[in-house]
Amino acid sequence: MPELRNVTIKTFDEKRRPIKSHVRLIVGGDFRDSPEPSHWHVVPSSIGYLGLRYQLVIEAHDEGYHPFRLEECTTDKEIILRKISEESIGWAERFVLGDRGRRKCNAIKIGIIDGYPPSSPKGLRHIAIAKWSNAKGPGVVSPDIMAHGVNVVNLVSNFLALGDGSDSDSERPEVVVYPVHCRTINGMQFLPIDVIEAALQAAVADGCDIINLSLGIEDDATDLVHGELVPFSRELLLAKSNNVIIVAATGNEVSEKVHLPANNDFVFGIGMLGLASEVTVGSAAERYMMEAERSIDFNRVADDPRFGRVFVAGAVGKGADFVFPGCGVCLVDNAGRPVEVSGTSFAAPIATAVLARVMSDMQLYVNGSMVRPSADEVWERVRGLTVRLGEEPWFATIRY
Amino acid sequence: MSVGLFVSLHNESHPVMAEATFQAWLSRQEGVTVISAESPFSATVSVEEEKMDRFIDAASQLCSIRKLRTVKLL
Repeated sequence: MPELRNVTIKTFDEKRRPIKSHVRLIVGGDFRDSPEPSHWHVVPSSIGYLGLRYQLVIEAHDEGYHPFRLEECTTDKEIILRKISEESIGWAERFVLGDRGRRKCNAIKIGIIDGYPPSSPKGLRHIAIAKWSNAKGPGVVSPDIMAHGVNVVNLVSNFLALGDGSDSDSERPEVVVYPVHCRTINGMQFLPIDVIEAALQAAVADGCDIINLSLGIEDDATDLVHGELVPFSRELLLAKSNNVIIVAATGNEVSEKVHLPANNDFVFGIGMLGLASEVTVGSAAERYMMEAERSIDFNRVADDPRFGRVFVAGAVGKGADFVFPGCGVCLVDNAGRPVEVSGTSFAAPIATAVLARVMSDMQLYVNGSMVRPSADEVWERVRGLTVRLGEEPWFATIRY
Repeated sequence: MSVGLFVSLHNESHPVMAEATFQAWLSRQEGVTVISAESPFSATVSVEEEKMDRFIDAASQLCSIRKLRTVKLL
């Protein structure tokens, strides 16, 4: 058994200023987190080898966000973390939106069902919060779930250029958040499906044109109690009869089946793609990329002539309809900080924003009143703009 | 340990309902905690495992019971 020696490492930003960080040491299948954020940590000396047995994940301490990426590890055990550059922010935007000038999206109402603070944070004050019953009801709102919703809303706002003051109110789409609260059982927090179903009913009743669901449930029909409806089935029928488009995330693990409700035929199931050059060392995006590379179901990695090496991560297969950037996507948060997010949760709002634009372009005034395209018509239009999953080349890009 | 369940009244004419509201009846059941009442006739409850059989015996005559399904953020 070799002797395990410890070394002290320190974390700095690119200007060599000490910054506080969290450290997670992964040894085999076990891990240990540093108790407090600090700019120095004592860790085993073998961390220099990023092999299978030892891995050190360093995360700059900044209220749960990840605005830094690993730049270098010096021989003096100094870890240099570089702030994500302005240039790397928005590769997803360039990937999806060829023409940044055409982002107007008139009179479309977008509903987002997610965790959210009681009032919109700074920078998202233009986002409305629905006064639906769950917002006043019992339950807890965990900071992680709130941060998830804020990032989802931020992506929609970012991609539709809301809040920049360039359009009049009448030209802007209306974005309404339906905040959902958790229930606590055995000390753990859960989001019951009934809450999400009720939020869907409320969003349809409020006249939303598009509803974003960056969440899902594993599809296990055999687990249903006799006579129990398949989750979301009533709500999806309601949405269909009201001509509402539902956008849902497919799931983050390569080995997973596409989740409910994304796998429903009526729902736009959104998977995620990433750009290898934008993947941060030690991030979730890196893990997703490695899983995509290891996947043998079909080739998930390809070279895009414009952007380089692109990969599809997460759940695809039956029920996944399109893939959008969702792995290592950067955005500027409400405090003006760069934030990196990964997951199909974040591909879905980008798809939602693009679908809102498509819908906006397709709507017509007939005899003085607005006629919305049907979900099927939007589907056909988007198919024309993208390459669908399962066809060659399989990664979908929207040049719109 | 407790188990999360979603219960929904389907037999409003059951004699139990003549004595109390559905929510009041639920809150009187041993080992049952009402986590949230989605409507006057449905609720999310947690039931202590050892009291589960007894609760299901009592509740199955007047309401439908199913496992609490939870979604995850992706």
